[in-house]
Amino acid sequence: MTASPRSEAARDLSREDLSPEDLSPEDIVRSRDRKRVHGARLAGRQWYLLWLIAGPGILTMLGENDGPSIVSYTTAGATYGLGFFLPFILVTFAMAVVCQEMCMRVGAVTHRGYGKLVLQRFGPGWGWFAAGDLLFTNLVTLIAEFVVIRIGLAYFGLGPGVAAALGIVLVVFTLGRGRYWRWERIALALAVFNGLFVVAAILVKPNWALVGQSMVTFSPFPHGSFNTLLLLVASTIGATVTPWMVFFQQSASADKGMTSLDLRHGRLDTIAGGGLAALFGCGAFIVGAALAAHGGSGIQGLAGAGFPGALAHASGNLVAGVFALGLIEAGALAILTISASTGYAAGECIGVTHSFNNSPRKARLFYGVSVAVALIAAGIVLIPGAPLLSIALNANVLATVLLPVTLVFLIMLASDRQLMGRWANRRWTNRVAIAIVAFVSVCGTAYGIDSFLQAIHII
Amino acid sequence: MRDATKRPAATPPPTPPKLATRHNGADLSSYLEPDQLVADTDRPVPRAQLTRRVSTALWILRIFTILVGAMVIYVFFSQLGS
Repeated sequence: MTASPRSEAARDLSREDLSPEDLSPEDIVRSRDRKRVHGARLAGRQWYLLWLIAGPGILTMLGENDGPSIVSYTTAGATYGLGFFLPFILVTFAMAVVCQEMCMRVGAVTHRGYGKLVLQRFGPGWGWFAAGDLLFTNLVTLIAEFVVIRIGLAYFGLGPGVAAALGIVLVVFTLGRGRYWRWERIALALAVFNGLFVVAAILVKPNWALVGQSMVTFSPFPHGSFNTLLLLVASTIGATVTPWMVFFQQSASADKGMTSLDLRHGRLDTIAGGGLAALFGCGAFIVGAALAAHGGSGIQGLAGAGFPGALAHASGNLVAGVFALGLIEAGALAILTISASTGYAAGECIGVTHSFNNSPRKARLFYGVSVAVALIAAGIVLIPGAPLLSIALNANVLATVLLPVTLVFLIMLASDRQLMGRWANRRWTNRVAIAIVAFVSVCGTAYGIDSFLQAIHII
Repeated sequence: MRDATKRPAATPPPTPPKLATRHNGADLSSYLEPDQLVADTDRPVPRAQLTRRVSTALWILRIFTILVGAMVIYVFFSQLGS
């Protein structure tokens, strides 16, 4: 990767000699945001500082409470009812917080995105593999996001064309103006509506004593088809830790201009995001569990994912409407974050400008890729008769299967003392992170091999 | 292309007091850390020297995930067929 001539000139200047003219437009926009952070820190305004720094963590976590994830939680609830999967969602988000804290830390300390660092530190081969994995899983996941928006809109009588148009318009609308802060705040405003799943959960009037009992005892443990259980375990993991989250949070932390001084608030941002996402995910699960009492009936409507219709039948139109709106929000937010992560990865690996702090004219590839992947996914979802539920669940499983390689490189980067200095992983962090990789690998592999052997009629 | 090996590792960011004393004046660059400028992040970090054992382990993991991923994709399409 070669730096531009302008970069070569700027690099030779000492820090003290730098003037605003030597800064790129991206630097200037970022430094204005950092000026506010600096002022808040000097004034000791901790809550304002948290407001300024928060964003990448919450967006990543709530972005991952996306369409396929909500479908996974609701399917698990509708299939097994209250029990093991409810606390399991909390466990998977605890795993996600460990992984995402590393992303935030590496991004803030090195000021580089994941794709760029893997490519520079481990060579182009590994960098392109990582970007290839991401592009593939992102495309599949984006298709699933449009599918879920389609499901939500269908409840209100709107067709797939509206779903495709809504997603594309949203992506294009948020990308303009050349400022990361603006993009992040719009996405955060949208993310608030992820809370609709908790509203829906309250409206279905669950047995709260049973909810509490499930949380504490992890029981009753699911019975029935082993393969279905593995599918739902793998897709629940895939619903909380995925390759795009790693790319997105590290790149967004660097793009936002976070530094090692912001690590404490960055951790709070990540933990808050994980807590909120777990709460909202549990809400979706509880809504699904309301369907279990009706034998999970109706979820195979609308070519395989008729949750809102089934809820209307089981719990009333209000619950169904709130849930359908939640599905639309979940898909829409994820379209923003996943398309952004694809743009970051493409820009980082090709070595061109990749920042929301640049105008679309100056970062054509970054913005172009973000819109292009959304367009392709929207086009595919318009194909009539697509197996919606299967796409949504398998998108998460695929992400789970490809995740271990992404996490291994993340651990290597976060443990790298040459890069991270005193902010490198401590021994216990590495132990926990390696245990997570092992767990994710076993679950993804178990489902992959078991279902493959069934498909070829060996078992 | 610059020789990445001659480039030192990403330098640690400045300490808070140093940053605090430099925020006066119109120079926006003082709000960014020295290695945070686009010009600096464009510079590659040095390549990691992976041992043969680590490289082999990474390749095994890579091939393994591709195989399992292919199984998942096969199952997905076979379910479509049925």
